[in-house]
Amino acid sequence: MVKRILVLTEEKLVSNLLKKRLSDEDYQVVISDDPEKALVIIIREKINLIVLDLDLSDLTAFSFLVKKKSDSDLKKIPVLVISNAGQIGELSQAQELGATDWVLKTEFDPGEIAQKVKNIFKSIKATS
Amino acid sequence: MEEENKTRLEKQILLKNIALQVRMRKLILPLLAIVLLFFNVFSPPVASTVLGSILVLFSFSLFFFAALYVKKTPSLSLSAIRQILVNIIFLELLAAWAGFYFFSFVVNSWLIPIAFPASLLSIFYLVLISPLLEDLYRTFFYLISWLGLTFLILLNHSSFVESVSARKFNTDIISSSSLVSIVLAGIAIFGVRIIISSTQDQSHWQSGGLRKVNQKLQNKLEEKDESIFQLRRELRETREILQIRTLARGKELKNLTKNFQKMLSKQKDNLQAEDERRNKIQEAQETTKALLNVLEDNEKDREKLMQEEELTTTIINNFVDGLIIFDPQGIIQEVNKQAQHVFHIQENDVQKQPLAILQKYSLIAPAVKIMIHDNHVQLVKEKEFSPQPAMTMTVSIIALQGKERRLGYLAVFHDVSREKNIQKMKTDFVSIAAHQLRTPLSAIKWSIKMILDGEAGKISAKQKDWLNKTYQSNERMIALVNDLLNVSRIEEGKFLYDVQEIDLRSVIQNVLHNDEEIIKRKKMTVSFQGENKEIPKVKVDVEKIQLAIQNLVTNAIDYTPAGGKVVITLDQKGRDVLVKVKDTGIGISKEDQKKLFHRFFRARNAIQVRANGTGLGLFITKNIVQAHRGKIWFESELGKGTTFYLTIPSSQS
Repeated sequence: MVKRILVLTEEKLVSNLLKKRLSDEDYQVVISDDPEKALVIIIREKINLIVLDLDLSDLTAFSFLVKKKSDSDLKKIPVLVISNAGQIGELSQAQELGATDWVLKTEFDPGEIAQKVKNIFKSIKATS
Repeated sequence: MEEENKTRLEKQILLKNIALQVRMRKLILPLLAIVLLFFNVFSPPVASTVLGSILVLFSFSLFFFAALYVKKTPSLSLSAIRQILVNIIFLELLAAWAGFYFFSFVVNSWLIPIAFPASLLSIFYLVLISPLLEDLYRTFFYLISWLGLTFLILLNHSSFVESVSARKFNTDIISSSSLVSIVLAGIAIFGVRIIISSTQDQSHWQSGGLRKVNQKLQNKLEEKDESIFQLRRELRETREILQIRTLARGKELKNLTKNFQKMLSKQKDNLQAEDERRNKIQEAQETTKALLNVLEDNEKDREKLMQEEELTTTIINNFVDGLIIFDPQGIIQEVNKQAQHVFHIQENDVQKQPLAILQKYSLIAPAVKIMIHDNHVQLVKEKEFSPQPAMTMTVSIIALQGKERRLGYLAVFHDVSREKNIQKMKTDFVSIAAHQLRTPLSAIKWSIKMILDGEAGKISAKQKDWLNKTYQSNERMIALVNDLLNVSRIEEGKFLYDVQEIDLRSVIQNVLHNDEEIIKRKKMTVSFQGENKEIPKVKVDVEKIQLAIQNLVTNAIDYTPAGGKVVITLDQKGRDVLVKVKDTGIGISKEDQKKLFHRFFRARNAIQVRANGTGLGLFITKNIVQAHRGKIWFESELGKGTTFYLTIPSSQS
């Protein structure tokens, strides 16, 4: 079964590059730049993993995480956080809110992110 | 003049004394004779006893006083002493004799034989010494008077004995015998005088022819005799006067000498006294000087103290932080101007009041809760409190420990609102800068990477080469942004905010997670020892301590060749928690070890391995560790590896 991934970011380049790269790895990729709409898409499209850009305007990324965490259906869906700020406080906060893993955009490239995604699926498969 | 007058006066007194002496001698004898006669004839036995006693006492006391007089008057000439002695002895014998005689009337008849020889002895003695006494004529007169008296007494005595033995007291016999005695004495005296004159008229009995010549010669001789006698008398008088004068002069001289000696000794004493006085003055001067010095020193000390006190007061009052000083019992002693101003306190309202009174002032009330716990003053360091919104202060309580005892406590109130603000601004800046700078950089990085990976179609070798170079430049730019963010974090290391009690294990796990990719890429063995060990929790600013440990771990990975080994150990060391990061890396040369924690310093071999380091990581790490009252050190050998040690006090300590 093909894994479905949602990339939630306001940066078009980031979403396009990730979509291209993750599609190469045989994932189905859905792109969104609106956290509110994203919550609907996740359920509708039966998303298996979310790549969340923390650098969404107005700190909406965190409210998205809060909402996702409070929803029993969405809670279990893993989240890979990508960020530019790389502030430790920010990242640990994201982790508390249910982020599975995180990467600093400048330190990783799309290939490495695809590798991270693969690892997450592997670990989920191992635990389930 | 005065001396002369004095001498003259003394001389006159002396002369008077001598004249009195002579007169007394002439008067006393007849007077005594009369008294004796009177008592002999009329006295009852009691009167005799009294008189006898007086006379005996007189006789002894006379001798005593005479001896005393001679002894006390060393200026007396020998002849003068002799004269006095003779007179005294004479009077004495007379008195003794008379005394014994009168006693004999009442006491015992056997005393009479003593009185009689005594009288005889006195006569004999008188004869013996008579040549010493004036002229022969007078001596003779005395002798005769004496004999007459003795005779009279003897006569009386016999009649008395007679009357006593007959047990009848015939006053007639006594008086008549006395009368006869007096008459006889008179005859005796008269007879003596006739004898003397007849001796003088001896020439009458010589031949008639020669008688006239003789008479003339006699007359002439007599005249001569007379004149010689006169001359002798004058001479004697002169001698007497001279003697007196000599005596007086001698006495005068003696007095003078005495005075002079006195003066000399006085002078000497004066000189000595003067010396002593001078010494004493000098001593006193020195003492005064020393005292003045001491006083001056005291004054200086006092001034110094006052100055110091003034300085202290000035410092306290002008101190930028609010200061409250209170004694060991928690009684407020002083509130400086800044504290009064910040907390709206009037010093007079709280001075000499217990610390708890500050709870009445809303601005300082939150601090009082920190300062006092269970009625005890708490020694706290930089505890934050918020007097009002948007204002943050810290309170520190320092014990003022004197040399011997605790003087009290000092509470320091420091306004950190500004620092807090700056800190927030800095954090915001770092966040914004990171975001704004990294966003395009990551876009470039990802795009180039995708192209290089052939995601956008096949590229030529030349295109690939150029893109590779662009990619590297972008990587350097990313490193530069990281540096920039680190620089802005340098100062952050010095302040701790958001302190939480945590387990360092989670921090290390986070750190390792961050480096996961690079560890994999370099095919390194990174292990975490003590992950399952129970380690005390620490109170730390999590974000900062993670940065510090991250720096150490990332350095270990960065400077260890691929396939190397890094061991992270978490352990307890006394009251501290120890983090050890050991690698098998390039190591640090001895020379570089000294400067390793310096700002912007990079070891030579480190630059070769990684060109884009900043030289700030260890500097920041050290700041953070020290802000947590921890320690950081390392051991390293070039080419073999490095071990970094980091300790943080556990929350229990």
